[in-house]
Amino acid sequence: MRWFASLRWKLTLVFCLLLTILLGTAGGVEYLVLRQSLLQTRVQSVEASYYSVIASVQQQAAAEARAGLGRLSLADSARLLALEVAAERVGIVLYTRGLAPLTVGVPHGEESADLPRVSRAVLRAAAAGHASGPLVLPSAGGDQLAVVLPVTRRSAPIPVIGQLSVPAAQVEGELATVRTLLVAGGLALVGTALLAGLYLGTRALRPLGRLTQAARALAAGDLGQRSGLPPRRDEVGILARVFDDMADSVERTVRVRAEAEQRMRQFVADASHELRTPLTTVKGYLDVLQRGASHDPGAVAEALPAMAAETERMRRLVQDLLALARAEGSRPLAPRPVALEGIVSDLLARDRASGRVTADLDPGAVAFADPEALSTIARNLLSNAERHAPGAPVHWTTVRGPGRVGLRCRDQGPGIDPSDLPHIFERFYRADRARARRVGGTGLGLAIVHALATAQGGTVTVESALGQGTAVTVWIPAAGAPGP
Amino acid sequence: MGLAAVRPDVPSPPRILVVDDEAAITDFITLGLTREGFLVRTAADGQAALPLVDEFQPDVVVLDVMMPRLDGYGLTRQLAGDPRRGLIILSARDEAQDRIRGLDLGADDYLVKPFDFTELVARIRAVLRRRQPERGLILACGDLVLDRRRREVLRGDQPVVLSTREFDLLAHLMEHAGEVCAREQLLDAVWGYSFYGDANNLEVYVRYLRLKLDDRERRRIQTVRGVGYRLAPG
Repeated sequence: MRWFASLRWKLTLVFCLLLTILLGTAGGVEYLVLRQSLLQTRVQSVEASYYSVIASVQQQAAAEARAGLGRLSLADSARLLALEVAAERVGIVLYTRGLAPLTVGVPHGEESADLPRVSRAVLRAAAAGHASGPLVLPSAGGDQLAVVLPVTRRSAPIPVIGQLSVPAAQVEGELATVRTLLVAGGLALVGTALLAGLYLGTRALRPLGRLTQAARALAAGDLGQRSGLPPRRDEVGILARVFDDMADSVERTVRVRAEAEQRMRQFVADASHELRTPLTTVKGYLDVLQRGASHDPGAVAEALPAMAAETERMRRLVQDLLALARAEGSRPLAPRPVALEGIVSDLLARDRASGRVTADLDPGAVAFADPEALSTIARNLLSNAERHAPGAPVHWTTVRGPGRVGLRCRDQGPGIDPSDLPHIFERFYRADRARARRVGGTGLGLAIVHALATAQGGTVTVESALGQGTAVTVWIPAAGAPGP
Repeated sequence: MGLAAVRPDVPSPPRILVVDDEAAITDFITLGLTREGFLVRTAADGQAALPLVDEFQPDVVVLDVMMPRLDGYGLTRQLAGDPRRGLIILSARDEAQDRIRGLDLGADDYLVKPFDFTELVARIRAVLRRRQPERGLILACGDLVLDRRRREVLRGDQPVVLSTREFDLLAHLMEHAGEVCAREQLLDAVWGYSFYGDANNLEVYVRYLRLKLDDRERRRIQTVRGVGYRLAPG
């Protein structure tokens, strides 16, 4: 990023430009006002000395008249006045009321050419009784500050129009100092503002730099990255908080997805392992038979039942994997009111011979569920109970709760070890692998039950104590109850 | 001096301990390896295998990885170090890192399930050759004993007089007892890679060998049509 493209520099420069315009305008106005007032002051002092000279000439003339020395002519009075005024280092040009030039007074060290020439318009205004000035007029000896005074009450004793002038340089010197001070002060102010603006901008924008870093790290995969800024109420603080919230949500999403992927990988690994074992066995027996054992009746008698058992195991496993895949959403469920009694009765009808399975069912327990899914649940519960409690009685009951009905399968088997209890719904979890294989479980039965119950808005609970048997209850929303 | 004096040298059949918690797998391996002339014992997990190793003194242990109690890696770690004992891992895990781990822990070989049983037999023999080189010097198959150092063959108590080529041919067949030896493989092994002669020579030598071993019914040296020959194991 080039320096002038940065927000910090842009804001500072715009601010400084505005400040310069503001200071320039204010300084210019102030300078003009100050200049006018300085000129006015100077002109007033010149006027004051002019009138006091008129007064003293008048007094002198009056004294001379009293002494009988006769009256001074206008020309003489004017000449005297010009001399006195010039003695006070003020240039003077006097006119009659008719604008006829009377006399001039040139201060010592100046030339008459240095006296400014005012325009006829100014003189005519003076003749009409209007003062003009202060005027700044060019002359051979440099700019002159001039004023033209008409005949007034104060100048009535000597009725002349007076043009007074002093070199403007006297005032200009003071004005130059003021100008220098104004410009220097303005520059100092703008410079300070520039530095302060950059500093403040850097400070205010530093959190943005930190956020930029954090966003980069996040994009690069560091999901734990946060802004790490103290809480602030300004826009940057809001941005930082929103950024952190976003990072939280991204991290959560990615973690959830990673966990789901991990579970899926584990499931695929487990399933492939479970399928690999019977496949290895069947292939192994085939290899052994092909290496000559097929001529050995003893070997064949051993190999064939083993291959048949392993093939059956694969078939069951594939069937359960399909059931699980369906339970987890590949087959749409068609829920309708189903009497739990009917589901269990169907199951009992197939297994009436053994007499070990009994039931105590409430015909009023009606679930809102997919009948086929319920049958699969019941079948899996029963085969699970028969496997883990071989030969022990199994008893079915229905239970009712608020808004839901339950199907409970209780066996009198050895029970489940408390350390295994949290895992029994996991796919391929078998408390005792060797025994589970002997009794023919695939490790998917309870996972299927759990998936089917959950898919219908239900839950599964297990109560078990070692030596006292196990009761698995599948809770399903009751028919007529408000939906989940 | 007769070969009878050598008979005490004839090694007992190699002892194989198969460790796997899947009874179906140990069953077929036991059946197959026994038929190949090995002495086989089995254990259901690593913990059960440890006392058997001391008692049975196996030459090769074939073991699964995923087993309860003591798994295959743990068992490998405990058994590695005996220079005369071979370890072959049989596992459903086929990731390179699993194989690397098993081999680094001291296993001689790693086979992924499902595996070819013939390959397992060949690998057991290969491990035996590396771990117990002297074992290959005396081959036994049924009532046949072949001593490579003395270049002598004994059938039961009777010495069999063989030519150099016949001896090499029989040695190769005995080394691969039970396996089908392809015609090209036998020609390479007996006559060397440079052999371009009449392939019918092989039939001639096999016929001599059958005569000298009194195998007119071709039960001992079996013809596998279109492929080659096979020496019946056991």
